[in-house]
Amino acid sequence: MTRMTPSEAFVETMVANGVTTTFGIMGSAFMDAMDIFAPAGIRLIPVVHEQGAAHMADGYARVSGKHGVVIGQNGPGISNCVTAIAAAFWAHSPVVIVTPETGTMGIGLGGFQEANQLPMFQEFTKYQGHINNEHRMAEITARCFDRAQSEMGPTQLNIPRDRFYGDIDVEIPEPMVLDRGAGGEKSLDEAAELLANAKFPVLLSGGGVVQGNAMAECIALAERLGCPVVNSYLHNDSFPKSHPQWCGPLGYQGSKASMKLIAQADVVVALGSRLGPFGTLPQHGMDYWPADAKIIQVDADHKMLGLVKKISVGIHGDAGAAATALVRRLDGKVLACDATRDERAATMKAEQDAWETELDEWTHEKDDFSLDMIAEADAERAEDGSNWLHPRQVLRELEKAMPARAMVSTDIGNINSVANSYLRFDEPRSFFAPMSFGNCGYALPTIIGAKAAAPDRPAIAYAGDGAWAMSMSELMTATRHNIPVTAVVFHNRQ
Amino acid sequence: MGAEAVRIDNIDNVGQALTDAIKAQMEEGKTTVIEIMCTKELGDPFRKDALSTPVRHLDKYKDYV
Repeated sequence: MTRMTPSEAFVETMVANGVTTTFGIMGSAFMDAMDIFAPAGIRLIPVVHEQGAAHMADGYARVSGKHGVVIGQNGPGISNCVTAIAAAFWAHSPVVIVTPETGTMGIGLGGFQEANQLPMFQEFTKYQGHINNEHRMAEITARCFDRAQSEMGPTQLNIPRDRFYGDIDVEIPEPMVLDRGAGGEKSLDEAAELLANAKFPVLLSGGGVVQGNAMAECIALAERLGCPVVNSYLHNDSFPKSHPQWCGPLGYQGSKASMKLIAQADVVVALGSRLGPFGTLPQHGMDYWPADAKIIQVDADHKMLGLVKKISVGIHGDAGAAATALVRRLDGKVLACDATRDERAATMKAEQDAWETELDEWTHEKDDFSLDMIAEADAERAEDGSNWLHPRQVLRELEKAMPARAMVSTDIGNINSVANSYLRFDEPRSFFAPMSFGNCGYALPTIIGAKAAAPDRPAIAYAGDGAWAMSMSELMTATRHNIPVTAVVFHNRQ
Repeated sequence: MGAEAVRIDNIDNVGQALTDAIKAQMEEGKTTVIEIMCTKELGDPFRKDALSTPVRHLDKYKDYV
């Protein structure tokens, strides 16, 4: 036991968890602790708006796999974070939001910047720690950091502001790192049996492959099966674009190649995917989900198994460990699909080529509304010489110019959604979108957080002019704190 | 505020604008905003699943379908 103040215990527990960067706006509520961030080796990056800080923590966590930490002043500084924490929740991001609160002697009296700060995050956090006694500062802080990783989502650390003060005797807990396994033997055996008998298997690579650092294991399973690999919606970085088995993302404005191929599947392995309902909706006029196929779903959260899609086998396991366990079970066996390996590869190649050709030729939208808008733009050009570009052509040109190792965030809006088919990656932890929460104002702050975690990688944010306007003020964070990024703003005046 | 900005209204300049901005980001630490002037055309309705044929029972809303 060491004698410390609770502020010191809080900061030392962050140090024990490897925290070097936090995002937020300084405030009196946590100033006692903030004043020792610097000697502890922790940088607080001040932002313009706390929603930006929480998005930055999300981007930081998604790129690095480390905790993203956000902190702010009690009351409005904390309520400003709610939307961004919801986005982080749906990204399964290990974000810790530290929420200093009104002092315990004032709670309930209607004082300045007072709010009950736990209920507002209840739906969007995996765990909520509350410092009910300053002697528990290190214990509860440590639990918030542990649970953000083990539960794969944001946690909240609520600290009444008077709890930073006092003298306590404390031992700083070591981080508890969860050793995840492949899943139950029975489910793995059943899955291997299904795969051994599959005639046209398809692998769906999800966010669990990215978050579980399981790209190599996913590739090994895909190569053993020789099957098409499709990315789950908004997880375009879950399989390398340069791999011959990569067919592109499902979901809104996704790859027709992937949709046509998965439609033929008799067995689908959904590796590290919750199979979210929005990501498999009919698209391009195709209801492609193979309703009669056997589905093997692998997820590190057992509550996701069979939640949205009917499945045949649910494996509660780590994506990488489960993929390896399946490859081992198939080792030395002749699979039903082995006989058609070349034929299936040719089918896959034909669909990939057809989709790329279609994308090259799909320069503009052809529905009545869009044709009217194009005619309107042509009339403007004739009148004042202004020139308005077709979004699809722009997205294709950006794709061609995309630098190696790029990190790209996209906002919410039509052009950003159409971007789905043009965003492809070779490296995991490269693509960031507000996922199921779908909030505007996401892209710029998130890519700033990503750049703070990976300064050696090019950082690019896509936003339409509407979403851009919601968080463009964070440009000041980028320039003031030397976190350079590139923002692409699609200005279509609506 | 210290950021660079460029407006693009020619398709042939899109790729180069990104390349230049990335060079400025990686070599000079500069933040750039690339504003690309786009038509108002829209991709397929985003929530086609959530759209159904409108029904109005009140006369004052009859024309709003």
